[in-house]
Amino acid sequence: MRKFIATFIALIISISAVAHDDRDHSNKDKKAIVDVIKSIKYGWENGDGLPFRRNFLDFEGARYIEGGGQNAGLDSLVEHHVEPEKDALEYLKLSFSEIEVHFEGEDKSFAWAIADTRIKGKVNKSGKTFDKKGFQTFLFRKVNGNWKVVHTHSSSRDNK
Amino acid sequence: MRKDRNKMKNISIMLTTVSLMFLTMSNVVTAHTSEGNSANKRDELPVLTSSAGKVVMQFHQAIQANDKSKARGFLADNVIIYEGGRVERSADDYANHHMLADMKYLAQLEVKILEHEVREVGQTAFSMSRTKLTGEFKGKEVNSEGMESMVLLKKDGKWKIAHIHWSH
Repeated sequence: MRKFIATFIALIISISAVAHDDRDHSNKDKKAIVDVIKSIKYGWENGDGLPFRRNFLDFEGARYIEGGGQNAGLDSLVEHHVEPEKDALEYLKLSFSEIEVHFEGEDKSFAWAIADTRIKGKVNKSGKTFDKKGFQTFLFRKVNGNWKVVHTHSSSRDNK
Repeated sequence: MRKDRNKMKNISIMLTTVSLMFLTMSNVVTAHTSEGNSANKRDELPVLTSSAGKVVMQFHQAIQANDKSKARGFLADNVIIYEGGRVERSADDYANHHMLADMKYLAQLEVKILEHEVREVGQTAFSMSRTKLTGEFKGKEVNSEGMESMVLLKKDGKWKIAHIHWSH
């Protein structure tokens, strides 16, 4: 009887340890993805391409969609979109809220994250300000232990 | 001489056939290796040879053909759809509300696919496409580009759409 109880307790402890490990792992991965999203926010707000080059997986066929248009490939995104905004805009404030992260696949090496967005800025040339709200989708793959963005899609409308 | 020429022609046809078979088999191998986790491998699949891509195409066709039940069948029950500044959080929500408006809208327009890429990563896939919409809807001329991103998940051997982001 004692042996049975001891085995039962050991089983319960090992099951809860595995569950705890899984939770820790998932929390760690979620934090890593949220950190990538924060660095993307920093990149957009400061016209800095480095966070994109660090966190995006550059591959043939990569597409990043925003405002009805798209950039094909990481170089195009950084050189034709992110960096020019530094000169074109007096300021840009971007916020991601209600971030949801979904992990997929047996090894949880694919994730998609969605968020509500708010974008405010001022155009240098015209002096016009804008205030938009919308949605953002990020797709990620875990490559050599690091989460890399493989696709983004952003859409927004005037905040009335 | 004619016999020789025919022989040569037959050999040439055989070689071409064997080459095409080899190329086709190489493509199949690429498709399978792409399901591993290595990002270094080129895992781009032609849409029609990818099973996830076929599901996306069939979903589009069902929407355009006004087939609500078929289109609903390609969606995961808890699909999250971003469209036109709104979010819908279940297949039933979408099927009973916005899907009908989408069907009416698309039925009036000519839809041309400009670009469509699908990538499978094990039991997960993502699709990115760009379409040109032209025509007239409610007396207004339509000439716009539509962008679509999707996440698909394979469960019990079937691909279901888990997330859609539409914008134009």
